[in-house]
Order: sequence, then structure tokens, then C-alpha cells
Amino acid sequence: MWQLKLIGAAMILIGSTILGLEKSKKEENKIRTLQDINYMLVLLKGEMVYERAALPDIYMHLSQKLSKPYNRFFEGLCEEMEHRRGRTMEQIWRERVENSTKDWVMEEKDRQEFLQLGNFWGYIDISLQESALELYKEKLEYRIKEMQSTIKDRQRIYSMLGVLSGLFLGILLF
Amino acid sequence: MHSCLIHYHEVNDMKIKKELEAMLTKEVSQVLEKCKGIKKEEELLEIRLNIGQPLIVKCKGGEYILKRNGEVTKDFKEGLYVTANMVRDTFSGACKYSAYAFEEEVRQGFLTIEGGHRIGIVGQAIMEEGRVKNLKYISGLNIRVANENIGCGEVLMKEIYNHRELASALIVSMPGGGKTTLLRDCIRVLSEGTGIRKGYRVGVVDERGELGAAYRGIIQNHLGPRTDLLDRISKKEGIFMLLRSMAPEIIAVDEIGSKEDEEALHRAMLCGCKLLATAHAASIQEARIRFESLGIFEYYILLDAKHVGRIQEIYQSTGIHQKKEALLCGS
Repeated sequence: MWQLKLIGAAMILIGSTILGLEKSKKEENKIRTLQDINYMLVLLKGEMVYERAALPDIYMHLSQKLSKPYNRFFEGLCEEMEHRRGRTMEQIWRERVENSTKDWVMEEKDRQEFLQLGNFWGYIDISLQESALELYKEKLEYRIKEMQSTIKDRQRIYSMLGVLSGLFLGILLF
Repeated sequence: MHSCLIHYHEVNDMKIKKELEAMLTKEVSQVLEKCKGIKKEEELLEIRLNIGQPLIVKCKGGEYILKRNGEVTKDFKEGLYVTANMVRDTFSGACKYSAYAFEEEVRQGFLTIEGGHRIGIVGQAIMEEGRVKNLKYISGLNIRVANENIGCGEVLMKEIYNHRELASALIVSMPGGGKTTLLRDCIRVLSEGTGIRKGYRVGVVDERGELGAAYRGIIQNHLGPRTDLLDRISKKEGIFMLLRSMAPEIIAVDEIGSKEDEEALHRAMLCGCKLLATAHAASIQEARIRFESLGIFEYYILLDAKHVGRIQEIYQSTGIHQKKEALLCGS
């Protein structure tokens, strides 16, 4: 009987440790998503400022340059803009962010910030448009730094929590 | 009498519908779709949106004020009231929310969108060192729908080129007379050639993007197989570039008028090219006063401003004057 309990406790310990590590890995992925968005902004700004390309063209180029899942996001955005059906850019952006970024690993407040980016399009003056993008980019970079400065601690906590909760449940089982 | 202004079943109109739908607000699109009281044959030429004024559309048969339910009215007060939001959203849609990409065009007071439709813009100018830097408080838009009329150039080409040497011609009319549409098809006819004429190498300088309606570098309109198009470039630069690189037999340009244009055309003529151009003028006499001294054009063609798609008069520089009432195809 004790052998079975031991196997059960070991499995709980392994399971909870894996969960802890997963959670810790997710923290890393959250930063990676924001870094990917930052990279997108660099590409976007380049096409916007130096090539003066229109947004649908920029989105199309980004969909060709980026990998999954971002390429699909921009591909869809480009299609939606071609068939605007009276919707504003803000509405199109909002719909797209709400529907297509569910599988992006990011915190809700970062998703909301990304959603706000939709309000930044359409300035008639290129320097204003550039400044608006720059503002979002600065916020994003600050957020990445903030997350990077605390990631080690959080990862340690998640890993330890995983192991300790596994041990605790294992002991309870005995 | 019932028809929507943008018909679904015709390929060309379908294209126009898609392009306009991508730009217009839902409200305006719906009014145009529901439109009652305008004959189906009446081609849509213009949509006017001015803040605080009713929605006005111009068709071949005249001008109509549209109500919210799509009915035509003569009373300005009954028309669909155009709001600031409608104008702003339509402008943003026309620019595809990329106004920064159209800064230069907006400065000139118009922009050309996919399909070659031209949108005139009015508002308050922002001046810098005596020149317009930009427009703000955009208060009105005039959307001029580009209707490609394939075949309309054949009548004119037959009239002036049949069994004769290639010659330079200037098409004139008042604004909205169909000059660009006619020029576009003349380019196609000359480039394709006919049973009795070979096709020519035609160089097109499309300063406003209305002739070829090139979108992402691909020509959307029919300009023929031997046509080289330079898109969104000044006539002066474009003509020189074509002369240097593409060896055109004919150069076609839309809406000439400035001193620079005239110099470039003159240069092209000296290089042995024939020219096909359009200009604003109310009569042959007015066109001759302005352009005859250049010694470029052998033909002056006046279009009827009252009846779009009709040639009113042809004048040959040898002095032959023909009063014409030729009807162009599909008009």
C-alpha cells in the first residue's frame, strides 16, 4: 500500500514541479511577445517614415516578413481594411486585436495597451504619426525593462512554489 | 424608376463599388445603394460631401440631391445632411488611415485612390513661407468617380488618324467633360493598334494617377500592350525620363497648363514624339490662344461640357474647322 502512496506522491511532486516550470516559462514568453511587438513597430515605423507606405501595404509587408502568429494578425488586418464596410480604423484594429491575439502570451494590461495603438493611426503629418508611434514604443520598452528586472524573482517563486506545493500534497497523502 | 447607383451585375461597376465602399461611410454607402429615382443607365460621376450641406451626386443626366432613404429631392433641406464625422471618416477611408502617405497630394488639394478615383479636398490651409503646407479642418470632399469607358476613343482615333500620319492632339473641355476618360481610351487604341494601323509605343506620364490607376505598381485600367506608364511623377520629369529610357512614339499626359509642362512637351516634340494631351478650356479658340504658339498640336478637340461623351468640335492646325456632334461610344 505504501508503495502506491509513494508513486502517487512522486507523481504529484513531478506534476506540480512541471506546472511551476511552465508558469515560469510563460513569464519568459510574455517578455518575448512584447519584444516581438517592439520589433513589429520598428518595421512598421521604417515603412511608414522612410517609404511613406499606406497602412494596408505596410500590414501586407509585415504579414510576409513576420512569423506565426503575427503574420496572420497583419494579413487579416490588411484584408479587413480592404473591405472596410464603413468601419473606422479604430474599430477594425479593436476587432482584430480582440479576435486574433487570444493565443498571444501576454498580460491583459499589455493587450489593452496594444489595443490602444489603434487610436494612433491616421495623423496627416508624418512627424506627428511618428511621435505617436514613438510614444507607444517608449511605453513598451519601459514595460519590457520592468518585466525583465523582476523575471528572475518571479521565475524562482513559480519554480519553488511548484516543488513545495508538490511536496506538501505528497506529505498530506502519506 | 428604381436603381442603385452602383450596379452589382456589371464587372466595371462591381470594381467601382468595391473601391468606393472601402472609402465611404456606411450611411453614404447605404443611401447610394438604396437610391431611387435615377435611371440605371446614368453613370455615377461625382459624389459631393460638404459639411452642413446635403449629399449631392452628379450623374450623366445631371445633379441630384439624395434623401436618407435614397429618394431624389429638389429641396436642399430634405437631403441627407452631411456631418463633420462623415467627411472626416470618408477622408480617412480614402487615405486608408494613412494620411501621412498622401501629404503631398493633400497639399495640392486632391488625392487619387485605387481605381483612379480623384478626391478633391477643401478645408483650411496651413501656410508656411507663403506656400500651402497642409490642410486642416477638412470641410468638403468631391469624389470624382473614374469610369473607364472602353471603346470611346475609337471614334476620335478614326476621325483624326485614319489613313493619315500620326499627329499630336489636344483634347479640351470644361472640367468634368470626360477628357481623362477619352484620353485613357485613346492611349489604349493607339497602343493596341487597329486592323489598318499598327500599335504604337505610348509613354504615359500619369501625374495624378488617374490614367492607369496603378495600384501597388500594377496598372488597373486598360492602356494597351505597348504602353509604358510612369506613375505619380511631374510631367516635366516624367517626359524626360520616358524620352531617355523608353523610346516612345507617342507621349500622353493629362491636364497640361504650366510653363514647365509646355517646355517638356516642346522637348518631346523636338525628339520626334507625337503628343496626346488634355487641358481645361471652354472653347477651341481659348485653347488655341494658349497653346497654338507652341506649335505642338495639329488637332484640337473640344468636348461638349453639357453632354458628357460628345465631341463638339475638331480643329486642325492647317485651318480646317469641323463642327462635330460625334457621339463617343457608350455615352
